Amino acid sequence: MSEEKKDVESNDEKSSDFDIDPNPKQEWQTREKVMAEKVAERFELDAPVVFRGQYEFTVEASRIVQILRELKEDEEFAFNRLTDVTAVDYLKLEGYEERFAVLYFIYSYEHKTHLRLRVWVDEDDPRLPTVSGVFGAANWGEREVYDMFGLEFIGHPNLERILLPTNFGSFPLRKDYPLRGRGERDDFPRLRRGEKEDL
Amino acid sequence: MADLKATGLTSKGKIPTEPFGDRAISFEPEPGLGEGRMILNFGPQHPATHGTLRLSLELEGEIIVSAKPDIGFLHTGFEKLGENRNYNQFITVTDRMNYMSAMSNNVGFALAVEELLEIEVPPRAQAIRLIMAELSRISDHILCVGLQGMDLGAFSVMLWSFIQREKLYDVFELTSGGRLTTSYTRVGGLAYDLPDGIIPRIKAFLAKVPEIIDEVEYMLSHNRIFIDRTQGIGVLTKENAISYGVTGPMARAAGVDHDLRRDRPYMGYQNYDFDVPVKTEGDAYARYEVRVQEMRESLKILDQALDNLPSGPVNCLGGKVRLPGKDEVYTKMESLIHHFILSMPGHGLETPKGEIYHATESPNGELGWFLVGDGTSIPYRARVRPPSFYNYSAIRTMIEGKPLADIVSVLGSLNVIAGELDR
Repeated sequence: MSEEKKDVESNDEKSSDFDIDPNPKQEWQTREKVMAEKVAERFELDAPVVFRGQYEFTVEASRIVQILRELKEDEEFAFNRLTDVTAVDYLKLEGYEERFAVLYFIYSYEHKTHLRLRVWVDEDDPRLPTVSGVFGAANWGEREVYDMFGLEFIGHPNLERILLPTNFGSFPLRKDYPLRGRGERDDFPRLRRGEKEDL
Repeated sequence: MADLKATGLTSKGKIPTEPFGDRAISFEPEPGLGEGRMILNFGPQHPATHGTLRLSLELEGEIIVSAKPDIGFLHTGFEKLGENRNYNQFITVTDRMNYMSAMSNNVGFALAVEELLEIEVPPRAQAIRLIMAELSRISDHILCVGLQGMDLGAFSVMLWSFIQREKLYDVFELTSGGRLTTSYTRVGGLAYDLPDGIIPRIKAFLAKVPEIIDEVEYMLSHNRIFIDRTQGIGVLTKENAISYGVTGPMARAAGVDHDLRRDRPYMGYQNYDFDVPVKTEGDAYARYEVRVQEMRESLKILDQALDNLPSGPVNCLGGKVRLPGKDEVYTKMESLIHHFILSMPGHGLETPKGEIYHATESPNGELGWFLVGDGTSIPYRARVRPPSFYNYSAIRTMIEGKPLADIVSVLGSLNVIAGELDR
């Protein structure tokens, strides 16, 4: 909490020593805005999607490794931690250009700023380069994305299923995979309604 | 036929030739394995794995040449389930992720949904959530420290910490009705307000905690066996901690001075006075020390929070977010309408079309939620960033080149919760 804010608080009805700072978000949201502007200028990216004060850039798959490496190594940005890698299957949502998007959540310990990068992945050719050479965390994160969505990370040192058994036939977090029923266990017999299992 | 039944397969089903894929234990000698080397399976059922973790180790003598972690034994498909349950139903699922500190998970998820809806709960609800999150941090750390002692032979520490955890669970039971799976928060508030007379009870419990922490420290901190088996063991360097996305007490023990409660405050943490303990050694002993000190800091926060607990409602009232109280539903037309809108299938919460990431500092580290709202009351995608997953991914750097016996000490200090790791 800054000194100014404390003073303002103490002027009004605060008599106890318990200060209340109602909106701590403002401070880091301005910081992230400045950071996002710098990133956009440096890498000549399109305007970010801003929602609830969070910034997200869309990047071509071919540039993601280079951009993440520079964001990590350049002290101006110092995004040294990959918080998470995940994907979204937009099969059932209207108005998106491709089916899959891979999201990279990066964080800078130095500037205490978050940033999100998005890479669109084509449904017919679900491949993109790996960033596990830049961040150690991407190793398991990308394996999980492969496990759940079937997106292939080219150049990954050990791209195999991580949570599901290696002989699992499908990718369960894709939107066409049912919650239960057909496709749940691919090596079990498939039954129809009313059919009884013949033991 | 009898054989088929025993395997759980039917005559219709194709019997897979490799039932467990790569996970089948091979009795063939590994090609390329040198003289004097062997493969050892550590887990999945081993008392020191605290859940179901498996490490496939290549040993030379008792030195680990390479370790291959194999996870997923407790995979339950929580993220898939999240896409088929509405936001409030999913809160019960969050309990099962980190079952050592279910309250923390409840709070984290509720905050993420509220961030998506851009609402804020009343101050009393915030303070109660904060109290519960800190209590669960104590419950998590006290157990982890106890189990770390037990793994190394100090059994009584574990029993003492379990006694305290039971008392803490009594508090959770009185507030939420559940001991382990609490499901206490709701989107836009809490399931219930605190019951009468709970504050003195929490204070009575908290008055004893420093005593217990002292006792644990007395038993472990200067214990020669404990020190020999933790100091310099399982060293995680700061570079590796950052690169592998390690967070929480593990990262702070490795010199990463970062705590979301201080650096990106949520839920009113900016109003409380506390320190963030940081060590630079990065070994199992440093992790133990950080956890013990964090418990003391949590006590500080709790003292302030309990003394300054605001009064007022615990739910967002008047909006179409939180179910109105039963007395209102029975007497007011408008509340009855809200009740129906919120509970009928196909209606419910109206979420904006947008994507947010919200993170809280759970006892294990950064617990993040990535939610994709599509306008309905069911998340289009509910991704959890589990701290244990990334914390555990760094294990190879800590045990390779070290003796086999180190693994027990390292696993005890990581506090990997398999429910959260595999989800």
